[in-house]
Order: sequence, then C-alpha cells, then structure tokens
Amino acid sequence: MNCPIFLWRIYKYIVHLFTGRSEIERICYNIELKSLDRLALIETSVDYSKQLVHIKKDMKSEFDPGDVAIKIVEIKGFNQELLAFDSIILPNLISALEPISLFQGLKKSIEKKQKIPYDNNNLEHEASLERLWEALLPDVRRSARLSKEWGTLGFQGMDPATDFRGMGILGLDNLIYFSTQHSEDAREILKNSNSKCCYPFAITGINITALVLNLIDKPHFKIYFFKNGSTLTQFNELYSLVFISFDRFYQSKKPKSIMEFNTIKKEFETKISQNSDLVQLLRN
Amino acid sequence: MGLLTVLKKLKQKEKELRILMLGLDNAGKTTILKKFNGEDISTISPTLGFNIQTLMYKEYKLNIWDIGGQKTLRSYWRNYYEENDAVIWVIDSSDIRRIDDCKFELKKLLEEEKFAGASFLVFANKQDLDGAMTSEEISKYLDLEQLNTHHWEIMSCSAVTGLGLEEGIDWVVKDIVSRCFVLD
Repeated sequence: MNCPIFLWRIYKYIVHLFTGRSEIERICYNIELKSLDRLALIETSVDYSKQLVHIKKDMKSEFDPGDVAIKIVEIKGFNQELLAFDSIILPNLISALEPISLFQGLKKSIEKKQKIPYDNNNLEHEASLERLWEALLPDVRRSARLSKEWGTLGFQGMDPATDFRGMGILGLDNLIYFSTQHSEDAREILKNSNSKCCYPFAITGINITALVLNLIDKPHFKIYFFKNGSTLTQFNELYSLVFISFDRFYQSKKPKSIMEFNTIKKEFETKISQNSDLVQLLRN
Repeated sequence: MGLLTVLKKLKQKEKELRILMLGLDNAGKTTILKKFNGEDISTISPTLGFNIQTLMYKEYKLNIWDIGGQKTLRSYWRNYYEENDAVIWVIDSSDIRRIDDCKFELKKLLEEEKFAGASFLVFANKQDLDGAMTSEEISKYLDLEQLNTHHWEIMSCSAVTGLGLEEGIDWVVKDIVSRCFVLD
C-alpha cells in the first residue's frame, strides 16, 4: 500500500457511498481479476480492515473458508438482495479464502514436525538418518552408529542427533527429500562442500530449513504456495531450490574461510527477501 | 566535532565491552544469548562461523562474539582472541561423553597469553536436564580451583529456563568494571 492509509479509507468510503458495495464485495464481483490477484486483494483488505480484526485472527490458523466467508458477508453487510440472486460473490470469496486456509494448515504441520526433537531411541528417526547416509554416500559403509564419519556429510560430531536443534525432524526430512529427490544436485553440492569452498553440508542444510521458515510469511513465499499448492512436498521442493541457490551464491562469493558463512548467509537472505517472483529470484 | 562531543564519544566507548564466547558445539552458546535477549529460542540451528550479539546490561553494551564450536572451526578461534574484556566458556553439563574433549580445549585456551587480564566465566549449562553434572563436579574435574592466572567464576545455568544467566552476566560485567574503570 503506497498511499497513506487515511486517504485510502476516505477513497473506500466514497466508492462505497456511490456503489453501495464494500471493497471486498467489489473485489469478489470483479470477474476480470485472476484468482491469485483476487486472493491477494482480499487478504490485504482483511489485513487493513478495522471491522474484520476477528476474521484476521481466525485466518492466522486453519479455518473453514465457507464459515469465514459468511461471517465476512454479515459483518460487512453485503447487499442481501444481490447475494440471493447472485452466483458470483460468495463462491469467489470462498475460493479466494481456500488457499489461505490450506497455507495455514501447511504451516501447522511444518511446525508440528519442527517441534519433534530428534530422538536416538526412536527407531523411525534412526532409520531416517540411515536413509540420508544411503542417499548421499551409497557406496560407503560407516563403521558404527556413533562415528566421526558423519563429518563427511557435514555433521559436527560423532552423533548427528545433537545437530538438528530447533529444526527437529523437519530438518532431517528436508535433507532426506533433497538428497533423494534431487540426488544429483545434492551429491554435487556435498562434493563441492568438501572440496571447493568448504562448508558442512548437513548443518548448512539445517540452517537452510531455519532460513525458509523465517521467510515463509513473506508475500512472495506465500504466493509460491498459493500457486503450487500448500503441501509438505512443495515445502520440500522450495527447500531444495533454496539450497541449490544458496550453494551457487556461496561459491560465487569465493569466501576465504568458513568464518564468512554468516555474512554470506545474511546477504543471501536479503537477496531472496525481495518481493518478486521467488522461483526467478532463486534461479538468478 | 567539539571537544565535548569527543569526550562524550569516548565515554560511550568506555561502556562498550567485548566478550568472547566459546565452547564445544551443542554447548548452548547461541541459545544463552538469545534467551538473555528475550528472543525466540525454539528455532535455533547450528552456528556456522560466528555471530555477534549485542546485549544491553545496565548501562553497558556488551558485544558478544559467539563463535561456532565445531571441531573444524576451532582452529579459527584464535583469530578472535585479541582485545577481549572477558571470555565466557560454555559447557553442556549433561554431555559426559565429551567432558575430556572439553577439558582439553579449555586448557589450551587458558594457556593463551592474549587473554591475560580477561575475566573468565564458565557457564555450566543445561542444568535442567537429568544427569547434568553440578558446577562443583565440573569445577573439580576441570581443575578450575587451581586457576590463578585469571579472575574466574563458574555459574550453573539453563538457557532453556533462564536460570543463572543474569547472575553470570552480572559477574562478568562487575569483574571487568572493577578491574578497568573507576566507578562513577
């Protein structure tokens, strides 16, 4: 929003006076809008609305798009006669709210995984860790579960368990997805990270998980999910794209030592925080 | 710039302290700093390279250099040894498996001449975990009692609950101030 908010409020008031329709009503009625644009406009409108503060709160977690749509209609006092004969407004509103609800649902499942700490006694966790090794170094056999060899994958010590920290199982899931679904890229990056400009692959990956989580509410990140679907697979895909992009960025900076890592990471974060097409940003 | 401004600037500078924070990986260095600053500690990831965190404590500005503890990073530690007012060594008190590793690194650090005159605090972190060694046990095991080259203190703490953090920082600041500055 570039104009001062009070001017915008006056403008809305005047248009409302003339058309007899509230802003959301107008947005839903405009059939020429593309669905993503309509979604963005409605989201902004709810964000700035004084009447819809409760709705805004509801929309911060998973919600029923139908229920919320009806609530908006009631609070904003949509023209009831029009609504009765019209088959555009309500369906448009509901279908604009749906992706927002799905995105909130995704965030919830991500957070759930993040809150599960890596547990040495959990057989499933242990098996996942082995899968990661298998995917990246299929021809190498490790001598023991606790071993310095984990360092080849870029873990810090003899037991990777302590490296997942606040990212929990989510960090491991991300690494496994990247290493199995983009195995060529992952192995190439692992090779580079051990030879060219060195950085530890695995804990860098865990840092990338934190980075994506940190940016997930940015508008262009949300749009990525609105376009591609708010699923864990898409989250993993985005993670993989970010990892590949980060590696390219890091190598291009030709750091003298690993001590420059955080400075480069911050630069990278600033770069991909710009509000523009995310996939383009990551490919450049 | 007038003389008064220069003096003011100098005075501000005086209130800035440089503190180095070291310890093995997973000791909880970054978490301690975030907790002290009231930041979210649920989204921590391992530190690669280093972070600089600024803490405000009383009228002092503490610039804390939080350096990653991974083995491959330890050879870079010495690049940060100059001009520190204090060194904080953080220990995962529950990590009995690596206590010897910890003892070895600490011994090396204490022999470093560049730290002469720096205050020295050991944070015995993770006291909230079952099986954590007490600060007395750690102090004994690390031979801290024999240490006479530095002003030192060991403080039990938990970065998760916040226990002991303020006391520790308070000791560091007071010790530096009592050594370096004439109190106002």
